[in-house]
Amino acid sequence: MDMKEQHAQDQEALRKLISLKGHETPPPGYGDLLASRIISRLEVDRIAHRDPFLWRIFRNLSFRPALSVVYSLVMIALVCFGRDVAEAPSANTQTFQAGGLSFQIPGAAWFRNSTDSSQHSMKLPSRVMTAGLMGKRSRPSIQPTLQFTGSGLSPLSQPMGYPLLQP
Amino acid sequence: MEAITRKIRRDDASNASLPSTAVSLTDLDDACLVTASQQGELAAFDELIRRYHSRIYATLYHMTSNHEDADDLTQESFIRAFKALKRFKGDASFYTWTYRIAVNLTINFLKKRHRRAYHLSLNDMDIQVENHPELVALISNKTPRGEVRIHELQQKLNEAMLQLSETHRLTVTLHDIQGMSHEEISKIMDCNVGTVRSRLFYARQQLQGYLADYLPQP
Repeated sequence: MDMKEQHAQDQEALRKLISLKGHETPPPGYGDLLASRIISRLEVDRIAHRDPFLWRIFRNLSFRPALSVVYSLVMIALVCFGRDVAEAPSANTQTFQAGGLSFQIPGAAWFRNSTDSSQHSMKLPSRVMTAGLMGKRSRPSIQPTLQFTGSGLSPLSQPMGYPLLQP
Repeated sequence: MEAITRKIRRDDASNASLPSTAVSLTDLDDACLVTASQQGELAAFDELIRRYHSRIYATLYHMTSNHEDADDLTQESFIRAFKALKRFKGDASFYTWTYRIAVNLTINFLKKRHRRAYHLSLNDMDIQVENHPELVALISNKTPRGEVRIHELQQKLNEAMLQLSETHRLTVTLHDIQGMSHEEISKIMDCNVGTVRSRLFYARQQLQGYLADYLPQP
C-alpha cells in the first residue's frame, strides 16, 4: 500500500467519523417551534414599526430601565441648570420707568456698572437704554442700543420715536 | 405574481378546515414564495423557513456546538433575511443567499465568542446512530481507544471541531456533515473551488491529529 492510498484511506475514515455528527438532532418538535417563533418575532416587529414615534420611545423606555434612568437624570440636570440660569441674572435686574410703565431688564445693571472694557468689547451706557411699545403688543419690546467704549453716543444710533429711559 | 399572493391570502384565510382549491404553499417553488414574501406575505416566508431551517440550524449547530447559540443564530438569520429580502435579486437561490447570511452572522458571533467562556450544549444523538456502520466499526475494538461510548465520542468530535478556525470548521461541516459539493460550498463561502479543497484538506489534517485515538490504525 503506497503513501497516497494510505492517505486516501485515512481521509475516508475521518470523513466517516465526522459524519457521525450528522446524527445529533435537535429536540423533537423543535422545527415547528422555530418557524412559529421567527414568524411571531417578525409580526411583533411589524406591529412595533406601525406605532407612532413617541409611543415607540415610551415603550423602549418601559422595556429598558437603564435607559429611562439615564433620560430621567438628563431631564433633572436640565431643569436644575435652567433654574440656575434663571436665577443668576436676577441680581443685575434693573427697573426702568417710562410713560407710567415699569420694566424689568435682566442684566442691565451689569452692563451699567461694568467699567472694565477688557471684560467685554462693547459697553452699554445707561442713558441709551431705550424701550418702546411696538404697536398693539402687550409686552414692550426692549431694544438696547450698543455702543463701543469711548466712542460716544451718536444721535443716529437712537431709534426714532422711542422715549429715553432713565433709571 | 398578484394572483399567487391572492391565492396565498385565500389559502391562509381558509385555514385547514376547508379544502383549498387554490395552490398550496408547499406546491409553490422558491421563486414564487420569495416574491410573495417580498410583498410582505409572512405565510410565504413561513413556508421558506420550514423548508430550510433544519439544514441551516444543523450547520450553525455544528459550527457553535451549542444548541442555544445555534437556535438564536438561526432565528436571527431568518429575520435578517426577511428584512433584506427586498434587496434579493435572485442571482443565487434563496437557500444559498440565506445560508450566506447565516454563515456570516455565525462567523462574526464566533469571533466575539472567542473572548468569553462558553460551554458545549450538545443535542442528543438519534437512535439510528446505534446501527451506523462506522460506529459499529469503532466499537468493535479496532481503534486504540477500545470501547467507545457514544457520548464520549460526540464530546470529542465537537471539541476537535472547535479547535479548527471558523472557515475550516465551516468547510468541514458543509462538506463532510451536510454532504454539500465543493461548488455549492464555494458559492456559500464566496470563494473559488480550489480554496474550498485546500481548506478541507488542511482541516482534515488537523482533525486527524485531534482524533487519532478514534481512527483505525494501519
